[in-house]
Amino acid sequence: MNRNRVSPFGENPPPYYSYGEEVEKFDDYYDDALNSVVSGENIPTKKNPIIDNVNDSVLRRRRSRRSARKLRRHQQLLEGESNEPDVIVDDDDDDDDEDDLRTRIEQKKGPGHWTPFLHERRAKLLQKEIKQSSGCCGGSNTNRQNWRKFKIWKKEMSYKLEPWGSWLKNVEGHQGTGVVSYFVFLRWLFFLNLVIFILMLLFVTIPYVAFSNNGYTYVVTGSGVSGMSVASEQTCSPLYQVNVSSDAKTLIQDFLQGSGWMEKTAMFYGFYDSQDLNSFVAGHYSLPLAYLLTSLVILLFSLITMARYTMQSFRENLEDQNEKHQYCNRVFGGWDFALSEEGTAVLKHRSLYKDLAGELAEQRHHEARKNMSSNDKCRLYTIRFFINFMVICILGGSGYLIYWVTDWVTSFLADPNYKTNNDAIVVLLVEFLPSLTITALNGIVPLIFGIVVKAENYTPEFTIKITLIRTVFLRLASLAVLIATIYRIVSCTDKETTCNVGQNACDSLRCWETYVGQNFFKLIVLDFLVKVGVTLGYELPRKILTTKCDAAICKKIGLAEFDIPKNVLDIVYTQTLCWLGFFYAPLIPALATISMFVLFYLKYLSAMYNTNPPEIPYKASKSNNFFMIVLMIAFFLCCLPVGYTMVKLTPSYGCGPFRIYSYMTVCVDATISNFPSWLQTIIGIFTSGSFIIILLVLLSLIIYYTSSKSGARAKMIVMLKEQMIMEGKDKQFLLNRIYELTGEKPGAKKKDNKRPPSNGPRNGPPPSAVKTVNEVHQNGNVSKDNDEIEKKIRVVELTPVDDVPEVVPYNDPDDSTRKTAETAFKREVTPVDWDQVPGDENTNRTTSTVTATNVAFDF
Amino acid sequence: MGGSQSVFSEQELSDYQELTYFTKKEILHVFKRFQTLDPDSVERDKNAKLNRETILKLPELQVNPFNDRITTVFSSAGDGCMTFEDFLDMMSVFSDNAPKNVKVEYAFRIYDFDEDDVISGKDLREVINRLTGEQALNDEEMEQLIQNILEEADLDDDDSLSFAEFEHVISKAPDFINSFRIRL
Repeated sequence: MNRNRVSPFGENPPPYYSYGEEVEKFDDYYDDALNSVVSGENIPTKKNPIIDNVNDSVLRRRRSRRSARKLRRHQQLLEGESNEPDVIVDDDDDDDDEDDLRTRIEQKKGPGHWTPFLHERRAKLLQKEIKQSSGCCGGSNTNRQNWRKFKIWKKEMSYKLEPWGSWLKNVEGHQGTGVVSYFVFLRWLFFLNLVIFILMLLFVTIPYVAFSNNGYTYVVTGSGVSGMSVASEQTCSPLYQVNVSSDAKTLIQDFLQGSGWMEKTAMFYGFYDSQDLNSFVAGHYSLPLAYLLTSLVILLFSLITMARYTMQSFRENLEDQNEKHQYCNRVFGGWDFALSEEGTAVLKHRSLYKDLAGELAEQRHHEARKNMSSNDKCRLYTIRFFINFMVICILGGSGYLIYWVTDWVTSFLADPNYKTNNDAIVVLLVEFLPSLTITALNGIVPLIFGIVVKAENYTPEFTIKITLIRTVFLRLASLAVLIATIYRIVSCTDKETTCNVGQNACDSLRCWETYVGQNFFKLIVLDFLVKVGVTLGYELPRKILTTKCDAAICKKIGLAEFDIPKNVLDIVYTQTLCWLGFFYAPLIPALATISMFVLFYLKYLSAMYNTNPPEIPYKASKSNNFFMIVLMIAFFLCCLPVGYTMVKLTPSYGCGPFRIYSYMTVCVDATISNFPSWLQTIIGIFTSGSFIIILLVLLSLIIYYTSSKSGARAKMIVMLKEQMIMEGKDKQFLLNRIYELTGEKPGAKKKDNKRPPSNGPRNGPPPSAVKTVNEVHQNGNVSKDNDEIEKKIRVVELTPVDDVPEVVPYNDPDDSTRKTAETAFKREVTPVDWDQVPGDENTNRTTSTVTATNVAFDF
Repeated sequence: MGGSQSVFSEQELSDYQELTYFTKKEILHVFKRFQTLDPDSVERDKNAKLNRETILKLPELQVNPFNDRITTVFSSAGDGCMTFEDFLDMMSVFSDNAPKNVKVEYAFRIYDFDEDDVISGKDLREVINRLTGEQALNDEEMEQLIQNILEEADLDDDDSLSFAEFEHVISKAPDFINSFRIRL
């Protein structure tokens, strides 16, 4: 194929000439380039078999003519006569596109301006350079060039900075794009956590550690604002004491639990103080305010980055919400071009086969199910009902178990002598018991879900989804229960009045925020350890078992599968913990960052060596969205407790940056009270209820506007689709009509469909009817065959434009449909200025016929 | 990069950068990969024309069921042989930065086995057979599958997919853009 676009250099392209060389060299293949520039942009979307058939011979002739012309040009070049200025227009094939070309050449490379082969694109570029050097609009050009340079630089930088790029590539070759999407997601979360960590470090930890005054000399902003009491703070702060033991075992234990010496580090809320850092460079630096605002900024930042990430993939898949094109998706998007491993390729073949065969079986099954007897249906629905009931029971049971365990552990720890009465290991176990329970449930319950879902007889895709949703519910539910338990402890009402610390039945937590932080700290540590354990303690031995042991049973066990959904949910869970915990333990993001970082290498290890690609073809596109939605849900759920803490809960009097405030948000009021009064008024207006209502109304109006716009677009899509089908039918009808007129049978067309490969419409300019007929005329003395075809074409040509719609026997009696068809015809008519056509001998055609021809063919 | 840096002049590199979806660094990387296919001949002439067998040594192409089509489509001579420019072209189309419509166009040509500018039932059968590899669908399944695909995509009921139809259906196939790429 592509013989008509063979490089002008022939078989052996010379080394690239520099820009300084004479332009004439470039002339010599200009018509080729011109063609391809045009063809690259006019991919024929509609085809006309008759014309194509005619073109067969015609194109071949045209090509030979062109090469003759090229030869002529070449000779001219040799003889030095080539400096004729009209060199561009002399090609009769391309002149109607010439103006178009000029404008296009000026445009930048981009979608839709892609020419198939590189050397042709170079020609295009050369042309552009020449135009630029002729210097019409230099200023804007330099600007544009600079901008382009900047963009390229940016691209290069991002390429350089893309971390783990080659690692991803390796994974892709091994496991396919599905698994890579997991790694990309993991990397994304790593960076998110890194940013969160840096924000926290920069605005909270470092200022406090570096600039805090030792000793309690308070510079309190906004005294006089209600909800501040420095007095209770002064009595309560000394009461908050942490027992630090120097015993090595206890040190490690404390490290894992976040108690003891860990509790006094910058990791936890209790470490920070409410003072304004007056030794800070620019005067006062209110730590409470910084703490609050940084937290808010982090939440906002997370939301925005998530929304951006989601929108990118969401936009691509928005139109794909109906499952109408699943077979095409499977076949045309089935092979992973990035695969480079023999073994993986075999597995991919197998999984594709399974997927396709399974889907087809499913389809038949579905047909069968439609005809299922009501008895069977009844049975199926009963089973489903019971299983769903069971799932809810399991979820509820798990929730209760967590609640009970947390409760029991709290009462166990309430005994002040528990450390001395029990062995250290027991204490450690008990302390970790809630986290252990949650982790264990997360490990076991999804397995049960995986088994029971098989009895429910769903479609394979829905099976994956429902199992995932149940798992997600489990994860979030267990966290919710944990939060509820903690909340119960924190909001216990029986409290002593001076320091607001629980008494009698209530736990006496001197610093409840740190307690909350410790809980999440433990969860993150444990979660991390479990992940390391699973990779090294389960996948690795399995790999060793499979490779080292020859017994049949070992072979049967085989490698573990890289379970993408489970892995993604794992990191979503870690992220949830990070969001929940960062307010109570500001350095938890650091922990999460490290965890993600190590996890990347661990998972790389397991993806490269220890696991097989997932058997179920993983829809990267769809599940990405699903996971992001899960992440979003998790995020909003995280916002609730954090927000509630900020607004509604009384902070501990004895610790933390908010110890002097009755609510955390009071520190904002305190800051505002220091502002000049006019600013206070403005802020007052903006935060008043009436303003918020107006804002809400405005927002809802905008939402309404966008939603109705999207609704209108959806309608438009449906309409365009119909039109597309309509035009297809038009084509069919017109074909039939041509066959009627020429006396051929419509069926015969299919067999003629195969044309010599060199004649791809995308290989040259789209064969428009006008040119073809032209060619037929120009070559009057061609074989009889072509003459006959020509005659046939003339018959069609003579059909007046206005007649066409009249004879359309539409099945659809709707008048508007016919109108669409009419406009479709007329729209295609492109007026051609025939005076501009350089006179090859026989082109004495009238415009009206041309128009008719266009109508008949160029649809 | 040292060695390969000197192979191309700065001008050539920026030309290539302009003409493909690659940065200079990526282009050099592509050249490296090209070089590893046949170090000797590329050493002698950086524009050496490598034959199909040599090109297929690229791991990604080696296991690709459509590898013969890919080499044909991207070879400017049409015979499956590739110069560095062709190779660069190919990698550029398969890169992350290439827009969907470019990818779609090439995919169409790759899947159009008999090069009649429509993807007919026969082409589809070939595509599916190559996809499933050793395990082949039986005739009944194959018929059913082809019918399903045509039902989804063939809007004008001519039992084959034109480019427009193919483009339309690919726009609805979210996996395509993810799978039709080769990472550098």
